[in-house]
Amino acid sequence: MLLDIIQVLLFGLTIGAIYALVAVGLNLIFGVMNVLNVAHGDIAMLGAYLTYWFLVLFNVNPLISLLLIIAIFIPLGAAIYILLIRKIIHISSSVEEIIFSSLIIFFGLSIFIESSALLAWKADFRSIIYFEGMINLGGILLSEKTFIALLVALIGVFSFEVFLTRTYIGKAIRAISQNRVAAILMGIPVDRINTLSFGIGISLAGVGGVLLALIYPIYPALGVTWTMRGLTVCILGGLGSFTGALTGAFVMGIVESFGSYFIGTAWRDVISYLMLLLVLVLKPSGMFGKGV
Amino acid sequence: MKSSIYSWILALGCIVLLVAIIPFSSGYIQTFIFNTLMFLIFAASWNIFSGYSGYVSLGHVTFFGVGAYVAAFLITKAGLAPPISIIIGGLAASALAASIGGVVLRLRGAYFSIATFGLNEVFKTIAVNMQKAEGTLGIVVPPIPSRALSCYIALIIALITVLTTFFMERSRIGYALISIRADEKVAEGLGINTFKYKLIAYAIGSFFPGLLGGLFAWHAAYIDPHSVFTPFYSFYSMIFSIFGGVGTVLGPVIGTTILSIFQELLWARLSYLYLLIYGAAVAVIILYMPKGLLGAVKYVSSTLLSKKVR
Repeated sequence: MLLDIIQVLLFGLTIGAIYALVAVGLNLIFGVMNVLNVAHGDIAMLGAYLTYWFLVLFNVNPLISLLLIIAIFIPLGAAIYILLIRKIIHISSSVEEIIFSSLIIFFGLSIFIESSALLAWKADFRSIIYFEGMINLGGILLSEKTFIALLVALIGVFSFEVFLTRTYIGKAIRAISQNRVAAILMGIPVDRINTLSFGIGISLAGVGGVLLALIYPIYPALGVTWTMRGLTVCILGGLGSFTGALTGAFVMGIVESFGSYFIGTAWRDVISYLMLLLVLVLKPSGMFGKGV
Repeated sequence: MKSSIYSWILALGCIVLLVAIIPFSSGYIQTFIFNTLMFLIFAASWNIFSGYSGYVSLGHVTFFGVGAYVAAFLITKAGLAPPISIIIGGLAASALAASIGGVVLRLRGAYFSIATFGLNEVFKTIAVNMQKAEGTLGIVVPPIPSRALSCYIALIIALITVLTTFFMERSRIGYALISIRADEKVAEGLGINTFKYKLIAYAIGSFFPGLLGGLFAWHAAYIDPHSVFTPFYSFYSMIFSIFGGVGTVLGPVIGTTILSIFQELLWARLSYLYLLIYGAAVAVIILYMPKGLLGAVKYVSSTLLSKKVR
């Protein structure tokens, strides 16, 4: 029984770590630009499929394609920002208008990505067969892929945290999300930082995609589900807050994992939503959000 | 004022034309009319709450799904007549909105959008699990006698939705919602019970997709969780409204009509690439017309005539 619980806890941590990667990217984009990226899950889906094809076609180790994906997705995100978002931010007169327009643009993008994926790769479920071994930690059985996913996600999230708090660019990003006008007045090149943040946010989603491809079967329509999970984590923790996204992700991962174990996997999304509602009733701005 | 009279005459003409051509059209055209009316009801009812108050709901389809399930359940299990079941379905959707609104309407901005987005996923999961317990995937409903009848019922629901918007805009509720969109804190400061009006409008706006859900169940003769809880419908409701112009009576109607025809032409010509082009088109359109079609028309005409056109 105790071993079971530790195992469930570890799996919850793994899911939580992947949620954290996806949600931290979403939160970065929202915090800096007030843009809700509803195509975030679809970007993760692209990352998952790229990993799959790198492995099947060129026999590339998923950990190496992870680095490739970071290298591909940063310019991709920057391009999305320059083509679609920059103009919206410039012409909108209020935060609500930016949210409004960005929702539609990213919904369009989400349909675009999903239907392209459907055309290119069909609706079949595919899974990556790699890291198939098991690790035995004194009676606790953990599959190698879960362990690797947990490790990579933790490294990813914490190196991002170091980037945010220790580097000049990271500090600029935080400055913009705290007070945009003041950041402009301090001479921070907002447009350039926006472009970069978008690239980083998108590449974090890509990394999340690589890890979810390791653990779950992938299919073109998985984007919506992951967007929803990412957004749920964000408001659970508080939009725009890094600590919030992180805590929210692990809380949700662990609660889902225990919920699935005790109540049933089928109710997983309901459990996380009810928890979300509970948190929002108690504190409408999420666990770490600024006041609404 | 004159231009609004013209647009009402034009709208009346369209309705008469529709009523006249429905019985004589082919099955294809009838299906097209039904689908367009369906999205029109979605967009117009989304506009009632979200368009006027500025609270972007991403879970509008939840009420459609709940209406569909309640109606289908009443028709098949309780043996009630379909029209009564449809109305009860609508009321159930409204009641759900009133109760869930107690929580989600306390949230603002993006928080509200995301909370409503998740709502749909929850009800889909509940429907899937309920069905699994029964060992079936969907509910088979005795079909509607004719396709023309479902078009007429959809037309009636659409008319009631638009008229409700028209009268609401001119009522206390409409003014309250518009003031909330402008600045909720100021509205509260002026003594408007914002929460009450939001809740009322949310319940009204959810009644119509509920009705529509019941009609859809009757029309399609079969529903399953994935066909009635499609998150895309929520997005379409929003896009069609915004494309036409939110917070206006006729905006969603115009937006839905134009985009549906565009969608149908695309689909008929390029069935494989249709969603791809559609997605790209939606993104590009909003880049150039962030205020929607009515907004763009107003802007163009006001700059051309260099005076405000009303």
